[in-house]
Order: sequence, then structure tokens, then C-alpha cells
Amino acid sequence: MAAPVQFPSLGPQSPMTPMFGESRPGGRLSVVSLDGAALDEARGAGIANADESGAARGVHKPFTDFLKAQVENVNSLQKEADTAVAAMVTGQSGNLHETMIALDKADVSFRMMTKVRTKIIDAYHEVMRMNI
Amino acid sequence: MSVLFDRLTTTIERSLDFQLERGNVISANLANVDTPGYTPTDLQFSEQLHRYLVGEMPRGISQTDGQHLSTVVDEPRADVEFDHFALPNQDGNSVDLDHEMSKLSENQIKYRASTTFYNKRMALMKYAITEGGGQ
Amino acid sequence: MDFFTAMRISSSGLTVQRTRMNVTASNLANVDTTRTPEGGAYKPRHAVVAAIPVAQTFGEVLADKLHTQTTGAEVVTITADEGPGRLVYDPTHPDSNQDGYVEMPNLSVVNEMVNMVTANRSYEANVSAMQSLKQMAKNAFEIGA
Repeated sequence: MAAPVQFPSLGPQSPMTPMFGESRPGGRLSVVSLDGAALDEARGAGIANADESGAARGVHKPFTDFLKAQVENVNSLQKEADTAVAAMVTGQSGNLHETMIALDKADVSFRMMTKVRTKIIDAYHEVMRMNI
Repeated sequence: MSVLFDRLTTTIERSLDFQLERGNVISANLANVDTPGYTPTDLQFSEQLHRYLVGEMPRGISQTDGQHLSTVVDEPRADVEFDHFALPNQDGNSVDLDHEMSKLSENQIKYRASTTFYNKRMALMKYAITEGGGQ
Repeated sequence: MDFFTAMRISSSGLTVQRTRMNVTASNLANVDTTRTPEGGAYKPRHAVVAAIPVAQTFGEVLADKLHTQTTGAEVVTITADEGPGRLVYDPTHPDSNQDGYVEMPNLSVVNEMVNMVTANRSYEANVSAMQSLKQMAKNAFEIGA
């Protein structure tokens, strides 16, 4: 019997979390719970905490908005990787590691998104299989 | 997803950029080892990187309200300085070949270190994503 | 922030050192030359080195956010030493003048040997710089692997 999927409350933070958000321990990671030590680390690492501004309000954004923003983020990372590769092959940029890092980030974020999608679908199936 | 890439990762990326540029600077010093009147330069960025990492980039005008615009871009900078390690010789050239060579080795090792750190962090994350399996 | 800029800089350094070696070799070969096409003894050559900005594509100039303005090196000109040669007393020499003095090139073999050794060392230093850069590029390729 699968553990029920957690949808932690998002809190009033902006779904468009910037890439270079500040690193603060205890920052909230709003994603379906996955396994792995890295996720613990990522949880502790940076979402720009808009908690201060919104905590007082206590408004919850819909999860779909968050998902959409994350998908857009993944898309923009893919585009950045494409741009970096294009600049490299046309000779406009000679910065190898920048290109490799952009490709790697696109890779990681895309895999993450795929895994999240799989988990959500699995969770849905699980829920649908429940006998009422 | 942006939640995956925290400030330390960005600091590693910036350090890669700076170290590459420092390699350029050292190569230029070596190419000009016989140019009269040439003073070698060096790139300083470790202080800036540290401040960037802990989030203490210097502020411009003070912001007493959260809605004030910030005048400072939250990015570390590298400063070009003249390296007065050696005295000029009679041509006016003050490049010390051995000093530059040791800086070159140091830079190469640090670059390698930065790429390795980046790879290790990302490998861990990828492992978590793909091998996590289970529930 | 460019791998290729550094390679161009190092290669300019290599060219400079090679030119200096050529100049030194020419001087050493002509240490006893008393007849030249221009007349008179051989005039020692000397390479004048200057720092030059390395040619960059427009994209690279834009991307140079750090504004380090690194410069390569270039041999601007090879000058001949116009000073008088050394006068050596040797009446038996075919090129001696009425007083029996021969004008020899104003060269010191020791100086030229020192120049040769330093040019060699500098050449090796530039080769090391280029190898170091290639190694860094290889490391960059291993990102994400």
C-alpha cells in the first residue's frame, strides 16, 4: 500500500522562484516527496523565501500554478541550453564550461520533471484504485 | 527546476568563469615576458565570491522599505590588479616567470576542482531523481 | 571568458619567442662576419617586442564582461644596431683598413647565449600555458558526464 502522496501547502510564495535564490536552511520545497539524499539537500537549499511578505496573509496558491511555473522554468532551461550550444558552434562564445553547465542543468531539471510527472500519475492511479 | 540549483551551485559556476579568465590573464603575462615596460596583472575574486555565497553583497543606497529598488546587482565581480611581485628589470618588464608558472598550475588545479565539485553535486541529484524508485 | 582567447595569447607568445630565437641564431652565426651586402661588418639584430590586444570576434568582445583586456605579444620590428663595430687589430685580415684594424660585429657571444636560453625558457613557459588550458578544456568537457 503506497504511502499517500504529500502535497505540502505552498504558502504564499511566488511560483516563479529565481534561479539564484538565497540559500536558507528550512526553506520550503513544494514538490511531491521523492526519495534520495539530494532532495533533503535541495529542500534545505534555495527557494527565495517570500515567506516573510506572505506569511501574514496565509493565502495558498493552487498547485497547478506552481506546476505550470516549474514546467516553464524547465522549458526556459532547455532554451538556454540551446542558446549556449548555438553560440558555441557558431563561434560566438568560447566559454566551454558555461555551455556544458547549461546542458547539464537542462538535463537534471528535465529528469526531475519527468519523475515528478510519473509520481503524480502513479499517485492518481493509486487513488483511483481505492475501494470506497 | 529552480529549486534544485542553489547559491552554492551558482558560486561554483562563477568560480569556473573567473578561473578561466585568470588563466587568460596568466597566459597574457607569460606571452609578454619579454615586452619592455609590461607589468603583469592578476585577477582577484575570492573575497567577492565568498560574499556572494553568504549573501552579503555590498549594498548601495540603503533600503528602509522592502519596496525600494536595489542599486546593486547580486553578482560577484573579479578585479584586475597589477601584480607587483617582482621588481622591473632594466627593460621595465616585471614578469617573474616562475611566479607565473606556479600561478598557472594552481589555477589549473582549482579549475579541475571546481568542475569536479559541480559534477559530484549534480551526480548526487541525478541519482536521487533516477534511482529513487519506490514510492 | 574564453578558452580560445587564451590560446591565441599563448600562441602569440610562442611566435615572439621563436622570432627572438631566430634573431639570436642569426647574430650568433654572424659573430665573425666582416662583409655584408650593405657594406661593413654585420650589424647585430634586435627584436622589439610590444604588447598587442589579441584579435577577437565581436561576440567575444561583448562577452568579455570582466574587461581584463588581456594582451598578447608581438615582435613589432627587428632593428639593426647602427653603432660602430668593434675594432680589432689584425693587419693580415683581407678586410683590414689602412691602420690594420678590422671592424668586427659588436656582438658578445655570451649575451647572445643568455638570450637564447631565456627565449627557450619563455617558449617552454608559453607551451605550458597552452597545455594547461587544453587540460582545463578537457575538464570542462567532463561536466555532466
